[in-house]
Amino acid sequence: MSKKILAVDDSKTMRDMVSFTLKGAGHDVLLADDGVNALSALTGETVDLIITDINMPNMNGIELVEKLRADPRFRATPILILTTESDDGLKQRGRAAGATGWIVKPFVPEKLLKVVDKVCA
Amino acid sequence: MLPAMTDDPFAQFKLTFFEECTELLTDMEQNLGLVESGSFDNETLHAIFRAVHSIKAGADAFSFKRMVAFTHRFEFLLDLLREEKLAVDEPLVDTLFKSFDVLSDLVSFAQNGEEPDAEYGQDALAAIEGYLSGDVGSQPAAEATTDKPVVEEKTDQAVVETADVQSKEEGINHFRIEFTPKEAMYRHANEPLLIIRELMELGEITTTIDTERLPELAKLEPEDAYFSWVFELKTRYGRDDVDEVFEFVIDDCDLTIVTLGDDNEVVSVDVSPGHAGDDDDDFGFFVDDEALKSGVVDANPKPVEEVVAETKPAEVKAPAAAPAATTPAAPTGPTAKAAMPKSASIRVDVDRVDRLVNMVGELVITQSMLAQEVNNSAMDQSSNVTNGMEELSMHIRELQENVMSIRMQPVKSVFARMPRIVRDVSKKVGKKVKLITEGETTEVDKTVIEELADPLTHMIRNSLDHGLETPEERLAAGKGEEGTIRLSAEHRGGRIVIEITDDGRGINREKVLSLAKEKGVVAEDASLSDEEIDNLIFAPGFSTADEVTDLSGRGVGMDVVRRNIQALGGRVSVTSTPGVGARFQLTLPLTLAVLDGMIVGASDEKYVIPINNIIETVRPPSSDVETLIDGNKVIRIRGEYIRVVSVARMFGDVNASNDPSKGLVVLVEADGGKVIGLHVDMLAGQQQVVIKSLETNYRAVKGIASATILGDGSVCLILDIDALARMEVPKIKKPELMADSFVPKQTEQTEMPSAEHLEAVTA
Amino acid sequence: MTNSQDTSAREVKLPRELDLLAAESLKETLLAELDEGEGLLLDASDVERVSTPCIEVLVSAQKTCVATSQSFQISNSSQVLVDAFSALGLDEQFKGWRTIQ
Repeated sequence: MSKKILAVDDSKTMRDMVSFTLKGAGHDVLLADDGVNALSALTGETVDLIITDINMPNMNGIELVEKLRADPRFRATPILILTTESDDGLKQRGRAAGATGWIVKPFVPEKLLKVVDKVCA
Repeated sequence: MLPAMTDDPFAQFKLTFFEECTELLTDMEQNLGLVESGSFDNETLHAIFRAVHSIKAGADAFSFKRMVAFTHRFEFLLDLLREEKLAVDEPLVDTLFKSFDVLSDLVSFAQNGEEPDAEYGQDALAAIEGYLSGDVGSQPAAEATTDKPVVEEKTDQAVVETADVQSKEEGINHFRIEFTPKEAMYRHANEPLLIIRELMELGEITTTIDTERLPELAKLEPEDAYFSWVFELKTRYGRDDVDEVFEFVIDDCDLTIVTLGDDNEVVSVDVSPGHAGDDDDDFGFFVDDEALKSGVVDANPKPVEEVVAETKPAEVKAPAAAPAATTPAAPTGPTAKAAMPKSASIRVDVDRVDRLVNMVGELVITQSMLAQEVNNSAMDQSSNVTNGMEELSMHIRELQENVMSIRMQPVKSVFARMPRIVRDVSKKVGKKVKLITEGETTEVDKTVIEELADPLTHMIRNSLDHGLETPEERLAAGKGEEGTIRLSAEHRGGRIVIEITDDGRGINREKVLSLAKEKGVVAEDASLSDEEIDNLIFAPGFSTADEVTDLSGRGVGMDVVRRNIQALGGRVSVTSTPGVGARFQLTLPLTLAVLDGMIVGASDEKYVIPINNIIETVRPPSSDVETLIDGNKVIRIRGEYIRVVSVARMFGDVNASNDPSKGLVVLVEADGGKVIGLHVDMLAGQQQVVIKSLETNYRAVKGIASATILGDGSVCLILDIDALARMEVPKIKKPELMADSFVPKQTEQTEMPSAEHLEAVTA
Repeated sequence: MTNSQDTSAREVKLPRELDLLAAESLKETLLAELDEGEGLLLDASDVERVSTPCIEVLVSAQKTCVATSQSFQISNSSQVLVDAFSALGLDEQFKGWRTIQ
């Protein structure tokens, strides 16, 4: 089933790749390049899934997850962290902030789609 | 599991990646400059980290292994830095710049499809490792991740596939899964219903729920988890696939997976939380410390599967019978909308823009041809066609401006390289310098930007090497120890003006003049104004350095700078105040694609004079015309004599009139403020012309900058004013006949310019 | 399990969305009903989305009914709800609560 997904990454390359993969599978994709713009993209908008990078200017992925979990509208929305981080500490912080799971870059398209299916009702 | 990738689905994004790299590296260099100057904050460090981080992510996606390996270590260093675990001192800044260089090169290598030598960048890497080893304790992840097969994507993939095939050939596996969510699980948007659905996709499942923990309603925390389950799963899939189902909740639950034999005997018990999916590092698990300490981490589930394989003969089924989850969803109506809340931008291949620019150029030419046709036809000036032509002309002009603006870029990308050069050079020459840049957002055509870096680099080096004094000299002169170089850009009169100002010693005129005389650049007895002396440093074959250092110019002088700038249709000049400093001023057209020009006629040929060079046009009375001993002419204007160059004669018509009073003289300003007069027959109007390279289409011609195509389809040459100002007029054949009265009159000008034209050109 | 019909129970219509966010208000609604002491009669015809937290609220409410000798019934269950109970392994229990009209 087609989902509406917000992908947040400061890297244009990554946004393009995520967007390309998701759209190819028929999903609707919203894009933002940092946490602040992600929040404004979500003003008056709900999504089925949020995929976010961690290292971003203005508002990073962890802060974004915290802000989203504090917002009743997004408390139950699955959030995936998309990151190259192999640092467990950062992942724990992501988890503590309320992330549903994560994907390690680089990702294989099929895998990304599978995870989208996995966490979306 | 996943099918092996046959080819790279993301290859099409490589271009985007390299463009992004260029942007990131530009910003990074600027930020490194800030770090070096001490005027940085934590965000600066974060920005540098993010740049490397983003490059690493992209490099990883495209399997640029060297880049991944290097950025991986570089990133650790930057991480220490932003965590304030390292002090910013000179050696560290050196390491950062060195690493930056290596990274830039690695990007270039990758872009060109080259593989650098094995030892390339090792020194930078060693420097980085030096810092990292000093902090091993606080970075345990560093060691662990070195082993991460992130650069061995292909190998990794192969393993995945093998495991896949293996598990399928094992026939039916029986698992008993005891799954007890911890209370926080739902709050992470993890939903047992989805997990169970995923298990159901693996095979046949029996579910037993335990609701014992559930309290009465009044005591229930509605978002806590109370249920627990035991699943019995019969599946063709292996343990890894089962583990994968629970990958996101492994930390949020107690999980026990038991592998059952044929008759439900327990073959193996694996208790989680633990580590699953060893074969596939695409996904991580939130392994908490407790789990690690408890020592129940399932490091290698493979042997279990082998046991099962022995006890259960294979019931191989076609791989096509894979569960739905691995089948990519069909693209059903992707009404995707990309919402970038900030200013939306798209990235376009430069070639496409260039094609567009060229096409608009052709359109301009076609339009002016049409306009000319309409004018020539006896058409009513108020006819629809004429009006339409005017409108068309307006729209095309607007279109052209807009298209040109696509290629405009801030000079930031070039300016950003300068702090680096200042840094390197000042260190080598032992001077203290502060670089101030202004107007970085000033935009100029991409074609100009690309040509700007070399001259700017050279001039900055020159200021550092020759302009600024050593700290001791400065102190002795009553100045601060640290010199200042100011680099600024601004738009002025349709051109970009770039200035490089230093507060050094200024140009040593005495030395310059004597050197110029010594080198034969000027005559021994020449008397020059201060300004003329200053500008001698641009003269060919001149160098003020006592010996040519490798700093200011790798052996080339400022004359090369001037030549390069002139080749761009620009000008460079210097003003200096001894003891106070020097200012280099560089003016360039905003674009190299079009030019506002005055079309002039000289003996049946038409030429274009760039409007920017034109001061005014005069028709000198014969009383103001003087003939020099060599037969060349000068005219007197407001008490000054100005050399006149006959354009027609210059380009080969020896019979052309040599009497400026019989034609028109266009006064043009050449490089360094030098004014000459161009003797032409007529002015044919002012228009914007599309520049076509003569070198590309024909060959370089001295005195001609480039060519264009006029409305009537004829090719017209654009004069190179600076070259003309330097060029010798071809010797006139019969010097004895050079008195005005002897000039043959057969090539009289046929048309006189209208008063309207004259007014139009007065700058 | 108590199936004793109590006709005086008011029918409570379950909302369309029974996701995580709905769990708290579902709990409050059901608690208020339980306080009336006349059992729970839930109409689940509108339910389009179900989450485990809400199922927990429902099962807890059912347990509470048993403990306080009240009736608990779910009528007109949508397919989504039926499937959710089934997936979670609550098929058998659900049969006892379900009334089909």
